[in-house]
Amino acid sequence: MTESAESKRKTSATSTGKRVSALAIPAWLPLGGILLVSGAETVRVTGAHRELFFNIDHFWVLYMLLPFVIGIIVYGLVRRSRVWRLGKPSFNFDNMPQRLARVLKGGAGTERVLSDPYSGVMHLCIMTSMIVLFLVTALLAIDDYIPVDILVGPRYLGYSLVADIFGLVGIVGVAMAIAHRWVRPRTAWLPTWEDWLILGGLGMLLVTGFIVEGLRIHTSEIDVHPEWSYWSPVGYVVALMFSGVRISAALDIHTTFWWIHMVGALSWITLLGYSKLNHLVLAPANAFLKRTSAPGKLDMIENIEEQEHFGVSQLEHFTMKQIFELDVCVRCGRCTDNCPADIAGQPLSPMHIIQDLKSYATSVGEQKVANLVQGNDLNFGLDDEAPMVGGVVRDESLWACRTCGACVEACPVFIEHVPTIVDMRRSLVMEEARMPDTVQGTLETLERQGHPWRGTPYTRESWMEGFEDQVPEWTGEQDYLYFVGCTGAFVDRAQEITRSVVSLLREADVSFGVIKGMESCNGDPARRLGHEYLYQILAEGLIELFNETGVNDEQKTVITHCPHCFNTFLNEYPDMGAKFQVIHHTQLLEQLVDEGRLVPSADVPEQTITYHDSCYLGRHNDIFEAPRRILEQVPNVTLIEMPRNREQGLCCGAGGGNMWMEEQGKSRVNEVRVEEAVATGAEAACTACPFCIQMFDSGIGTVQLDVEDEDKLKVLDVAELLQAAAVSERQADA
Amino acid sequence: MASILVFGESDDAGLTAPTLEMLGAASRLSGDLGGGVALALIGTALADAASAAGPAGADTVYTADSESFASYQTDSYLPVAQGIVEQDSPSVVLMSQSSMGRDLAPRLATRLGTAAIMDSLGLEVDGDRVKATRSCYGGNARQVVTVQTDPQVITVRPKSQDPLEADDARSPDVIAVDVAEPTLRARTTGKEQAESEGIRLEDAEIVVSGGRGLGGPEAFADLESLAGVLTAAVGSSRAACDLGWYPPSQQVGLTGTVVSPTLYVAIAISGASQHMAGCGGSKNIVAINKDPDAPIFSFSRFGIVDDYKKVLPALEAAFAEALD
Amino acid sequence: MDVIVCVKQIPDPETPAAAFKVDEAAMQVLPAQGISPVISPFDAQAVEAALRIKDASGDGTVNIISLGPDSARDAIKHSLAMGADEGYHLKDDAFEGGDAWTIALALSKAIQHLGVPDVLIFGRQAADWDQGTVGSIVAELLDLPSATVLRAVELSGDSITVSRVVADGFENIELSTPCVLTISNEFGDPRYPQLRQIMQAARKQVTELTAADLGLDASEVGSAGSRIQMHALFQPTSDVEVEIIEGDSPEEKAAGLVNALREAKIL
Repeated sequence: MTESAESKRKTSATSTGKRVSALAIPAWLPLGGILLVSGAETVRVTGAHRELFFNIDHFWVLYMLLPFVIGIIVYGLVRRSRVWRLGKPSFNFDNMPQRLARVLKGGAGTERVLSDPYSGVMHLCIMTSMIVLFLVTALLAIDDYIPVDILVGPRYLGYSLVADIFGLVGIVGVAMAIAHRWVRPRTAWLPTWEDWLILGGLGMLLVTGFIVEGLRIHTSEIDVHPEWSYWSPVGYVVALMFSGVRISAALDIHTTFWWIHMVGALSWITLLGYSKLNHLVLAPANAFLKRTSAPGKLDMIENIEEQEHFGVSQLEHFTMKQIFELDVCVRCGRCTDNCPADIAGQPLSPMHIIQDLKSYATSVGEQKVANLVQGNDLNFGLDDEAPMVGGVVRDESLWACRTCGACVEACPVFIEHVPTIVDMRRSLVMEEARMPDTVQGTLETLERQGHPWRGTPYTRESWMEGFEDQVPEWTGEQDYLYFVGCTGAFVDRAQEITRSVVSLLREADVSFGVIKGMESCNGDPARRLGHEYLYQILAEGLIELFNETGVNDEQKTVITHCPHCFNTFLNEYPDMGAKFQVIHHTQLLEQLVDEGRLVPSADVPEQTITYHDSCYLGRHNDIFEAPRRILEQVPNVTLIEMPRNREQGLCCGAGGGNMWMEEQGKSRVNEVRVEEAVATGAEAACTACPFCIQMFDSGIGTVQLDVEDEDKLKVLDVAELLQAAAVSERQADA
Repeated sequence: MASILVFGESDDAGLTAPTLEMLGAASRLSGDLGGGVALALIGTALADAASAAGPAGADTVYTADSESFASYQTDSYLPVAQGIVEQDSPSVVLMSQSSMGRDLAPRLATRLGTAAIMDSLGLEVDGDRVKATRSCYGGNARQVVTVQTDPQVITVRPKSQDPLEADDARSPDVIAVDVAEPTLRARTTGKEQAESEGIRLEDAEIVVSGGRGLGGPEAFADLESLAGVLTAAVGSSRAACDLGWYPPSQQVGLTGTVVSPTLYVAIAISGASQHMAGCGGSKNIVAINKDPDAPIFSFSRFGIVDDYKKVLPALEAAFAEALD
Repeated sequence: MDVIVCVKQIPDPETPAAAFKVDEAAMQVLPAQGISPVISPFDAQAVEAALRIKDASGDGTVNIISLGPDSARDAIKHSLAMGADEGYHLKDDAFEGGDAWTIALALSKAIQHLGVPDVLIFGRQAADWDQGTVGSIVAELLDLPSATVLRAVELSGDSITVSRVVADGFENIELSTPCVLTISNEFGDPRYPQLRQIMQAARKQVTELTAADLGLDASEVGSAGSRIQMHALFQPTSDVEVEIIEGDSPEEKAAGLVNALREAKIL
């Protein structure tokens, strides 16, 4: 099954990313053009060149400064790395091809940065300008030290034009970045000194560069070889601006600006070790370090009974990588822009969590490093500090997280917010037993009754009342085990989905069975809520049942209609010793339709349907197309998309255990999502998750309070729609 | 000498309704057990209440009248109650399942060398024993029990028994009991009235009640508005009270108030047994719930399957018109 | 301030009605599939009250006693995980089939055996039989002042101030110690045990005490010593047939309901 999910991962790659990354190509086009034109001009400008260190004495000072500059940068990074090394070593270098590809595409290629047009272009301008100007400078130096002159004649002129153009591109990028900070409608992440220092510094370097160039042209080129100077158009314009200045004065000004430019450049580059400019180095590194496992998988706490602490309540409980990536954050705010909690005005901003932890790592982390160096207790002198969990990061922020992964998906520097948040939740639940009342009730019900649905009037068998004989009991002989799950059994609305799935499996003559009455929760809710210990107990119990009943076998496949069960079985159960295959009902149903074993031919009413991606099916497991393809094959159905779909799909609000929490904040996530669905004009919303269905139903209750029943948005599981179209009358009656 | 001694309670309006109900039950039981019915009253200014006891079914009335009995206190009531039982030596002692009965019955029974059955719903005589049917397992089960020692102490759930038709011709013997000043190891330092206004839950003929399905505390304002039209009291499920949506004093259920009005309107209440233990005695239950499978419907006479948010305004208008 | 809490392990009161089954012949509740027994919720609140007293007084112990079969250990372990200090399990075949009286008798002997503490706390009732008498019987046997059905307990010097739930509000009562308290659900949720404490509690020794250890003869306890006899246990059946009022709009349904209530002469 992993393979099939993997293959879908490829087929369903987002189009947005590609479209915008194509922007990169036109940016490089001028280069080719310049080279062509300069070739044609060869004859006229033979001999064109420039003198290195024109008008500059003591230039060797620069070379003296260089080791200092490098030293300062290295010192900054090494010093910082001592804070990173407070964490636990957990670097994993599996799947190297994927890691390296990510470094190239996402790191150097800035694939994710480009997904936002404005900041994508802005970043591309600054980045290409800096790379080109760096190469230009390097080339000039190389040219000076090798016996052959490369930069003469047309080559020199082309070189000069490229340098000018990319200097200008850099200025445009910096201007866009500054404008961004002035006009950006959201004020949640107002720029700090870092932003102004980096942008102001870079702008200053570009401008002084052109001034120096203009003065050089004014004093040494424009009168002698004016045709050369046209190839430095910006420098030429600057030279014209200085045309009234006496040459001797201009030479003095030139010297001054040259030194300002050079010392400025060397100073500015040291920011690499001390500011978010470090993302030049750290972002590709983080692209490499990001885990390669499915994004919906949480790490297991091994030997949990022997741990000294559960989850993360102190900086040193994080892994090195978790502390490291705090420093990678550039405060772009994309995580928060895409966070369902923040969109609904709830108290969570992933960016602020990372930034607040970063400040904490700076103040408290460095104190801890000092304590280590001085041989003190790690927490010496830190008694009065606000606690990291509950102080620096507030409880309600940790609870508001849906673990939907939208932040992780959006982050251009590959930060993984969700595991960090869940680690802190783990400490809240297991270490401090501090949680919302409803979470406590859910965990207690899981402990006592093996399901999370406190107060349910149903039993595990209630859904099959009246047709028990039509539900095949699992014997160990069948190919598929249909794992109904807790929601499918204990929630009335979800029982309907369960019945639809059974009816479709029967219609297609699938060899399947159900473990009647003996199922228990696979532990997913406990795990997302931070109770890793309870998860492991529940998972061990279920694996034992699967072992006893012959399910835990490579030849057997577990069907689940719940993306949360699916994700846990597929990605997390292998750690617990699971060998069985896993398939989501939409994958199996698509297969059955393809094979002609289910024929959606019945005349269902004409309708427009919008498909809502469940986070744990879509973003976390890359199953975007199977449910859509089923819908497309149902007669009379027109499929339309909400603006946020597939990888960008908005959570229904129930993820991360929020199904069992009271939401705090301005509005509810499900209402926001229902409004998006209603805005498409669709008559029905289809989804493939029993949590999403409930969240939609309750959202519609408020959003469409005043709408007549028949005009309200209908909410269906894909299986329910398919059942209406593909299950014969005979069986439907039965 | 009586066969049944009832520990009654009185307030400004005289004997409380549960007291009258117990006297009714005692009269019926004493027919089978033989012997008479006595009422014991502990409190202050008991004269009026005592004189009403005859018409209600008591042959004898014991009064322990003292300022020190102004409010119930285990330490002060217990010796007096013990004295009255020893003086009367009944075979059955009845108390209401009230704040007093709950506290006093087990202690008194222990002091008398016997035991107490709490919160009985039905009473019948079997030889010299009184068989009590009571609810247990949060309302999921019923048990039939007897006390094997004497006297048989039983508390009675309010509204589970019917009072007698008042017969003014009967006048009981009134016996004033000597009151000794007890040593108090606990004293009442104050009292807080519950926040609720309007009709008391246990007195209301109609109760409008809401549960967790309301989705939030705001909805109780709509319930109060409907209750206003119906002259009803407003109740709440334990879940809604525990969530802080409505004051605990308005909780209907096993651990809250037990009500048995003519009409109980359950809005967005699922009908868990814990809740049904508090309202199952209602003469008629009407349920409004969007879940057609909610257990509440199996206890209801009438039901509407729909979202309460839509039904409530329409219902209020319809009632207003009908009652106009 | 030293506190003893008496707790009981019972079938989960949140067992859905559909899963609740009674063996009428044996007069027993059948265990529901997949649903574990739990500490009676009121007893967990009693443990919470005790822990808060201990926290407020700054010293002392909270000890737990439970009478019952092997499963009673779990109620004790849960209380220890919440933060109680020591557990005592009254376990003897002779205790079987007992009523509130015999249970209270054994508990009071155990309390005397351990030494009467400053405060004794019980849940207002065990959520299985719902009698609510054990706390009061123990108070009577030990001749202690008591206050029952409490929603708040506070330490004030050497005495205890409590808020008792009564019909029309709350009564504030001050008790001298030692005393007996019973806690009602209005008290608020008990704490959720920390994982570390659950693990420590799992390793902790629970002292077992038999009838003989408490100086009790088998004839005094269990079914032999019971004063209340059960004759039947059954599930109530509802004989009401619900009439669902249909209608195309909320208005129609509302009108239909009002009509039906009128015809049935309820209104």
